[in-house]
Amino acid sequence: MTQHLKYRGRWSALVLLTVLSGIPWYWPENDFGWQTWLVPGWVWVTLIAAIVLSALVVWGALRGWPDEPSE
Amino acid sequence: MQALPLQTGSFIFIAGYLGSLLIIGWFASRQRRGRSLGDYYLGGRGMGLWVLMLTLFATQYSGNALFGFTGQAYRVGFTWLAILHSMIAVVAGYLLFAPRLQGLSRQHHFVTPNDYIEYRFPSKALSVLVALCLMVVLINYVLAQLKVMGLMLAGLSGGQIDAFWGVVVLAIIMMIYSTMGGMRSVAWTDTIQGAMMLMGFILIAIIIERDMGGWSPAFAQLREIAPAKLAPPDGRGAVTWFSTVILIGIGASVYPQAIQRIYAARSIDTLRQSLAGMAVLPLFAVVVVLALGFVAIARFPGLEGSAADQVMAMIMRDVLNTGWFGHAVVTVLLGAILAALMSTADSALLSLSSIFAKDIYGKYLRPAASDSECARAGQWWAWIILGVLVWVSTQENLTLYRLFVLKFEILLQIAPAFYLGVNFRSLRATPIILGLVTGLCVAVGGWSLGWMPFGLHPGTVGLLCNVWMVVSVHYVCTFRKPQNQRSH
Repeated sequence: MTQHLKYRGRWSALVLLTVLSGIPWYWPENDFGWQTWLVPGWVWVTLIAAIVLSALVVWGALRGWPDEPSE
Repeated sequence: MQALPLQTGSFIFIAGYLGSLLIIGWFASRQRRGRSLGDYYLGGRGMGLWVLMLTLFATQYSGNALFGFTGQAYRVGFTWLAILHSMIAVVAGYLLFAPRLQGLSRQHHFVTPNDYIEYRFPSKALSVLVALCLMVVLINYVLAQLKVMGLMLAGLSGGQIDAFWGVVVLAIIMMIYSTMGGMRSVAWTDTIQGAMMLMGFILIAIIIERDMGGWSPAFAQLREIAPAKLAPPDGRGAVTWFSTVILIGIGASVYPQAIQRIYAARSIDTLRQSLAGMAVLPLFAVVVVLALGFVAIARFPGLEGSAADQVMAMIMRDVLNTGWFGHAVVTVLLGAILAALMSTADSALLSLSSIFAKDIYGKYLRPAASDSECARAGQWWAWIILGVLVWVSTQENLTLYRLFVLKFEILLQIAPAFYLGVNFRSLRATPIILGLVTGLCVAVGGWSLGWMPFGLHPGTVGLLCNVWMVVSVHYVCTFRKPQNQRSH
């Protein structure tokens, strides 16, 4: 695998894992779970996953790929 | 939609806002350097950090973000948080191809998305196919914005403004400043419009706390009257969630107007910093719009289907009745909605004009035409197509979300040409063409039949078939060639 695919591949896998962890597929149906400020637990998990996803993208954007020259 | 009892002050504010767009258009036209297509359609490739970030924001967040997202949050409940992941995923998608594409566009002077396709895959068939797909998508995009404009003007003014003539006036203002300054005026007006939209999102957060009783009481009431809308998705719903992230995340990253903004960035660093900002904005903008939809479930229960797209207008009416502050808030919010609609429509129209001018007129209709002649042809085309779309926008009867999805079904099939083309140097045109045709057949066919296997959107199924076809044909072609040709 060439270098540029390796960098993007690892980062893409992290992004995909974060997206998958934010989807409550593992949550029991019709169960809101614990709640904070009346917001169901699964919604908090989804929101935290969105913050992690955003941080990951910001990191990817600012750091850049090592195989690309910056100006 | 119920009428908003707007006062003269509100109309003066809106008129002032529209007038400022024309002044910016005039000022941008004076900044033009030469008559090249690159200067007209890409603003001389000199977009700085803030202009680039706000123009990307204003282009990406259309009228649908304010009316459609709120309506869908009302209809389906908390599972529509999928859109939050999707809007961040769009930026992740950009990072996989945009920085390289920006570098290539500087070297080879790309103006339209198709310029890259022609450079990377020298195939007339692919180039024409992509140009047609992009034009269909852009026409759909402008149509959706005009439809919301008509809906908003007709409903909110309660007959004070005729819907058809209201849309005509907004469309003419949009076309005047676009024609005068091209990308420069569109990007500069987008900056004003993006700032206005951000102000609108802040006001929505204030409205929820001040006028709708805050989050907690609304959620308590929501639990009583519609507990199903608080529940996590079932297995099929989870698949649809994932499919939505793929559909919008990848589809929106190849918006032609967004790709042209990538070309227009001053440098790769400017582009990267703007994208970093774009990755944070959904955490605020999308969350407050969704929260408004959720709170509206408790406040206006019982709305079904496309009626749910009107919750924003219903909330604005409530806020308007709370005194002078409410009036001021609604006036600015109206400006933000107009900004969202116009900034998206003008960018799509400019992109449509550039694709016609460069990819159709300059290549097939009059190959000997100069840049300024091509630009003039593109401007005429934009005026004509806008006239037709203004008329069509009063005839169609689709819900906003359906219009929103249709364009992604097509855009998603073009994505492999950019994503794979930028990252896999050995890829040739034939696999991309076969993949694109397969993906389009599956996506558009599935969409027209209302087919959603396992909860996947037809566009996502189309993309899977598309990529499978690209990979299969690529390997078949590669292994059929002798080793020495392969290395070559």
